[in-house]
Amino acid sequence: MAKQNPRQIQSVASTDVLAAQAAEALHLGRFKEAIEFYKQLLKQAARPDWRDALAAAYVGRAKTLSAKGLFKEAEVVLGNAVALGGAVKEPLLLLSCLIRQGQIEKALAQALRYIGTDIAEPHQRRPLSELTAALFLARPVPLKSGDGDPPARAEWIAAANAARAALAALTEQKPADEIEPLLTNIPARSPFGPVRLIVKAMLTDDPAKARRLLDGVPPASPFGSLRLAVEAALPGEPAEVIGQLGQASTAQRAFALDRLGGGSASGPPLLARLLDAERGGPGTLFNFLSKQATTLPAADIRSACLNLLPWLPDRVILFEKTFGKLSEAEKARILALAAETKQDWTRAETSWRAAAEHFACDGLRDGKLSAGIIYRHLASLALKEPMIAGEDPFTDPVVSYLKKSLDYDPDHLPAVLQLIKRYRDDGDDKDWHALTEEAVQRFPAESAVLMQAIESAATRKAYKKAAGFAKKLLAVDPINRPARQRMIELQISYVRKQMRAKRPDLAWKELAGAGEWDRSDTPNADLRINRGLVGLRGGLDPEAEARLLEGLDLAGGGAVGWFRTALQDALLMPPRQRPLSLISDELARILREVPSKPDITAIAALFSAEDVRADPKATSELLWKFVTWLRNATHTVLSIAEFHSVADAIVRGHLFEILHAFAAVGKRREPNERLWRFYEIVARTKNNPDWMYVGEEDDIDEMCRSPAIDKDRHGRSRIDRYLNGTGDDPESRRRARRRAANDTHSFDVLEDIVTSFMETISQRDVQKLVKSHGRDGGVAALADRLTKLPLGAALPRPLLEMVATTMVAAALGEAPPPF
Amino acid sequence: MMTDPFSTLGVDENAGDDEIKRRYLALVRDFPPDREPERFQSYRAAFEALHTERQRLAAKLLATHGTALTRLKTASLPSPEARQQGRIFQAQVTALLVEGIEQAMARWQETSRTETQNGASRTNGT
Repeated sequence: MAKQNPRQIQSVASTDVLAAQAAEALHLGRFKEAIEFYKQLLKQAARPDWRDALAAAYVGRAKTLSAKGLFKEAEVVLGNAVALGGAVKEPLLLLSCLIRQGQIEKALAQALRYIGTDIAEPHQRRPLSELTAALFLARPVPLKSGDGDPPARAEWIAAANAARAALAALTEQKPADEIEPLLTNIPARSPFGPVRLIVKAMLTDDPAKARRLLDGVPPASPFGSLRLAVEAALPGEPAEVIGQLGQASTAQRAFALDRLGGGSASGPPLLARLLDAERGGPGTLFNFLSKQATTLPAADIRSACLNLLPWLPDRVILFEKTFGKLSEAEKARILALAAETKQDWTRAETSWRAAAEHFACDGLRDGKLSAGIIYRHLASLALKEPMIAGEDPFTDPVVSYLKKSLDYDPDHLPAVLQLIKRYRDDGDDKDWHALTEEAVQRFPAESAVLMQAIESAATRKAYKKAAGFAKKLLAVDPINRPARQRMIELQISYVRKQMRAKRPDLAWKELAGAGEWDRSDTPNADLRINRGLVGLRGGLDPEAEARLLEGLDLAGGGAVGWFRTALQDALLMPPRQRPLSLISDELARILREVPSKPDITAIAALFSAEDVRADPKATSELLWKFVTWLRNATHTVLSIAEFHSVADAIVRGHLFEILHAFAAVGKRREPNERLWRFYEIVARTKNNPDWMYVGEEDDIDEMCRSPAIDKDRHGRSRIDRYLNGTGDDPESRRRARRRAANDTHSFDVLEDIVTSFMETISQRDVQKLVKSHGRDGGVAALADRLTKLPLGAALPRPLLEMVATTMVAAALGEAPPPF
Repeated sequence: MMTDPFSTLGVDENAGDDEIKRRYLALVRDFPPDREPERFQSYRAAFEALHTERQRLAAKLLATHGTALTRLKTASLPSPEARQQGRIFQAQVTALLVEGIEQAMARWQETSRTETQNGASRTNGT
């Protein structure tokens, strides 16, 4: 509604209309307007409700003015409210206006009017009483209770006089035994209670007791500043005392230093000047310190100034003139830290590299360790900052800096593990295996390294070697569950091979061997299920069924247990082999029931397991059965987080109408959850992003820009997988094959340039860049690298960014972007 | 200016393993975690940041530290004998009370303003 100019209010407006406008203006916080309306109304009739409303409008207006810092004006407006109603119901507002103008005496006179009355709103009475107490002690005035005073006011005055007497005795240096009886006259629960605690804290010789007493005074109360000053003056750890003095206000510091005995008649003490210089910033502190060489220890002055140089790199020369030459390594380090403070990452990288080279050149152990530390720091910076390009434009900077760090500090285990993980995640199997072999020699008793060695050997299908590492690991760490679990998994995969080769006898032997990794306190369900299955299939064990049921119970029993058993059986036998009748009968029974929510999520998780996904031929029939079963459960209340793995299974089962049904129900239930819309699109397009309508593309774009989706790692990765067509459903795999076969995109005008660069920087390197820096960061980092190439140096930056964008799209298997 | 692990533990930047461990244990003894949990956490974090040679070197290389400045401030602290002579002035107490009153009022006003703004946005929303 548009504001009305009060001057233009028509005096002819009817009273009812005016009253309605006034009430609305007051309700909407348009106090100035409301004041004019109510003034006009009161001219027509002196109704008490209008007078109260006018007073409320004055208070509202005063609040607005005081919020703008117009305290004098706010005080005048509040005066109008007082003239109407006799007293302000929000006295704290008036007091704050007076105090913020420095009118302490006037504020005290005003505040004392409220003591022992119930004029103020109930929630304001206690803070008002405490404020009045502090005002009274700051500007003491003679105060006596009269005969007609209410008891509450008389009590307040008695406590006030007692507190004033105690403080006076303290400042007059009276002995503690004279002050303590005065404190007993201050009731602990009165608004003067904080004075009692503070004075007691100042009288005690026990700093811990003093701190406990002071904890009873809230720092935000009007006595808070005095409390903090007394606390800063307590003896304690020098670092702590200094820390408190550093945070203290000028008044608190003056009090504390006097109390500590550091005051001086000849001006502020050295510590106060030092703290003031520190508050002035690095430049002021540097100037102050460099002039104190005669009064303070010179070595400490030098070290303190040296630590200020990263904020003042232009004073390196001045520093050298005053304190002597700095080493080249030290100078480079200062420049690197200075560049980091300005977030100039390119310069920071250059300077850090220079520092590392200088440190490494000194040949001493500390020098080499320092170089290692700096290269590790560069690797961690490269993870966060795309501008950190690395020494070699063709290698991932994180990898290259970690490698360099290990050249100088090969015994740094976290760096070794980080590099192993990096190689593994990047698919650099050769480097991964080589580094793991090297690491296991260097750190033969480190469980993290041995675990990596097991994984590396398992990937190379060197099961014996993996078992050897696992034995070493369990010798160091006998409980290590992941190692035991991994070894059982490896042996089960070997068992599957033997069964498919129709050698149940060897499979049985293998399973017996796998038993050594099993612990009775944490029995492995899959091991028991496989023993049962092999025993039944090969007729090798009369108790096979009992073993199977034991494993099934460990796997959770019911539908989950039977699906797990069926999956293990499917993975064990050649494709299209009929399942055991025991399993097929139970599954048939289960599939006649309606699935429960826990069953749905747990079974979907079974289909997400690595070995199940790796063998779609063996498990597709069970997957189809599961997904078809879900047809009866589309109304199950699943959160989007729970639904992700279910959706993965449905997409792999290629039953998109079921996905659509879940998404439609989910969208109705949670209209604000955008990912239900995403699954609707996936279902309609049958997981093919090329079949999206324009509106659907817009919806996905909007989702990608949404901060909520950006934070949802799982949701985001599903959208990316869909858009990139990198899912592991049959259609995505087919599309990927087509893309690989037809990898000659049209690059229009950029084609020649891009082709030339792509011969220099491989798609794999580009993919790595995108992986480490994200898409936008990857484009920026790639453009940086292109500038360092001979052809790149001759091209303008915007063109290089277009080339980089095209190269990233090509590396990700996408169509070239339109420019 | 800065709180670094050396200053938190109150050790020299060239202190070795033994000295750092001794100092940490002494601090934990004086300020046990059950009595001073926050203080213990800060000592623990500082000890964790310095307890190996590489970590100490990294703390010195990759960041600035205020250890020397802390030593200078400590050297400027009044001596324990001087502390016995500490005085309290009425004017200082008054100044601190006025400061506390002003700060309390500023805080109250800030809270009140936030509440008013919230109320206004609720009104406009309806």
